[in-house]
Amino acid sequence: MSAGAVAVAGCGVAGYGRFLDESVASIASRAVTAALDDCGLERSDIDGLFVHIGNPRGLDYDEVAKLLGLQITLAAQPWSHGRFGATVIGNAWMALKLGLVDCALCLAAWKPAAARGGTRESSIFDETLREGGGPHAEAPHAGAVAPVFGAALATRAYFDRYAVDPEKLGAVALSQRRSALRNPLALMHKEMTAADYAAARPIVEPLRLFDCSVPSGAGVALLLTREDRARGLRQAPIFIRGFQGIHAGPDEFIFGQPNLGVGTASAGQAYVPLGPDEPVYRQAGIAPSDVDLLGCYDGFSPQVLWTLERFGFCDVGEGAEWVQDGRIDIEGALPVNTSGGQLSEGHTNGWGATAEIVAQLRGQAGERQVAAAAVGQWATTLGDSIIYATSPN
Amino acid sequence: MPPVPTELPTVDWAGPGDPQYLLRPSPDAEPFHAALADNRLILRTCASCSRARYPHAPVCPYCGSPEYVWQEVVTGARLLTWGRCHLGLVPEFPPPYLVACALLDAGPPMIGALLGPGAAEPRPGDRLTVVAQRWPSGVHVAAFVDEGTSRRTNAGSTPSMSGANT
Repeated sequence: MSAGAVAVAGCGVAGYGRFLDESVASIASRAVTAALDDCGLERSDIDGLFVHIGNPRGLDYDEVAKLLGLQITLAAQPWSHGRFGATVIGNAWMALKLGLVDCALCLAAWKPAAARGGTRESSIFDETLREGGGPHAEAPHAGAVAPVFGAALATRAYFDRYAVDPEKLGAVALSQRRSALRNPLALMHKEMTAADYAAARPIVEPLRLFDCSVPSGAGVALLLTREDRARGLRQAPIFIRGFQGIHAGPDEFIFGQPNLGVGTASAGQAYVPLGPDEPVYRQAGIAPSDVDLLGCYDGFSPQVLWTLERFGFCDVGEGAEWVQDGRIDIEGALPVNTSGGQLSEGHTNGWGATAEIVAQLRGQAGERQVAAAAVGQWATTLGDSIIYATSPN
Repeated sequence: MPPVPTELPTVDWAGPGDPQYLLRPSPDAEPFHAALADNRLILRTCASCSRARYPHAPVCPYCGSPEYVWQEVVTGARLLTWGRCHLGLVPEFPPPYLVACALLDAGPPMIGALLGPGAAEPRPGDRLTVVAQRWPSGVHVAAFVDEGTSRRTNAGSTPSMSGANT
């Protein structure tokens, strides 16, 4: 075991969008070069490679190492789904903690598939026919061939179970759009009013267009090292204070709370989240009330509510009420997805939010800067989380 | 005494084309689809805790036992939630169409197409019937029919849960 805290030393963002005329290798290369330039580490320092989105949208780890001239002694690459962003960083954190590597590159670079998920031509269509059902509770035999079905079914079940006013959901998309207007990298730049939100076309009811993330490619690279190495570099280290992984089981579903009945084996049992007792808070030595800003996976807007409830920011069933009146805006009590998130910055599989947490904690978020931001948390509906902080303890 | 299963109605595929490429049953699911063709709804039922489960897992999600039997179960269900799709994603399902998640009277939740007159304006708690939808290729899948009658007969009250959890 190698002592010492692990920190994000460098962060490089190649941007978001469709990258029509650029290869994934070029996107990845720009992100990695930017991350090296950001902190002053050398390409030859990188010995661990943790790739998020591989083939067919992105590059697999061996392509990354070959095409970017990296000499890697430990590589890992999970299933190419957005949910694994924090797991990629968590794996790098563990490898550094164990002394298996000295400098870990966490890389997310891909282009959106030409065909929309859900169509037969889509490269990910085949997954909906898995033995255990689609990864987002797709049921192709019923026409439920895309992730949005599971999200829509879970959203209505949640509204019904907790007597939530469906109109209150709009506060999430509206807040994140306000933040995106202050982010030059965000794909959605048009102001959105409550009337615009309500008038948007339904996709799968009850979800409307602006409850769904904006399809995007991305290029983000993080360089992680241990504290002793990170201290002498160009940027102030952003420490990883706690990590917990994705939860899975018969009653876990990516787009809903446990026990809602959608994508779960049970329905209707009481749901009592751990909230402030989640292990990530114990590791970090903080409480939810210490968190200055939150990034969370928002493929669909209700995931923000479920994350707030799961991690103890508000009571179960209270999320929609809790996010009203600008509470999750940049100037609010708990700024959430201050880059605009996947709903407005672009569907970056969580990497835009992670780069944003790093920028905020460094005090480099410009117009979006959250005052005195010292603790940033990433968390998802599925229970994974990372707590980042300016201080190692 | 658990309720006696009634025969499963068959409903012919009414959409365009044949969606046969939208189903790829594993060997674990084949008995389920074969029984639908025989107008029966069967589920893997735990030999230890007696609870029926869906999907057709080797292990009981409730008690962890790997021992099970295929058992014919009642065809009633209660609507938990639904989505109305406005996207044309595959040609066999032109929009708008409805997808439901219902709690089977036999126990587990299941997702399927929502058909019938009640599907025009579904309400949580609607009583549904599981049907065997017969595709042109001869494959049978489970779908739900909402007759739209449970709201009129149970106006203002929670629909009957009789027959739940055999």
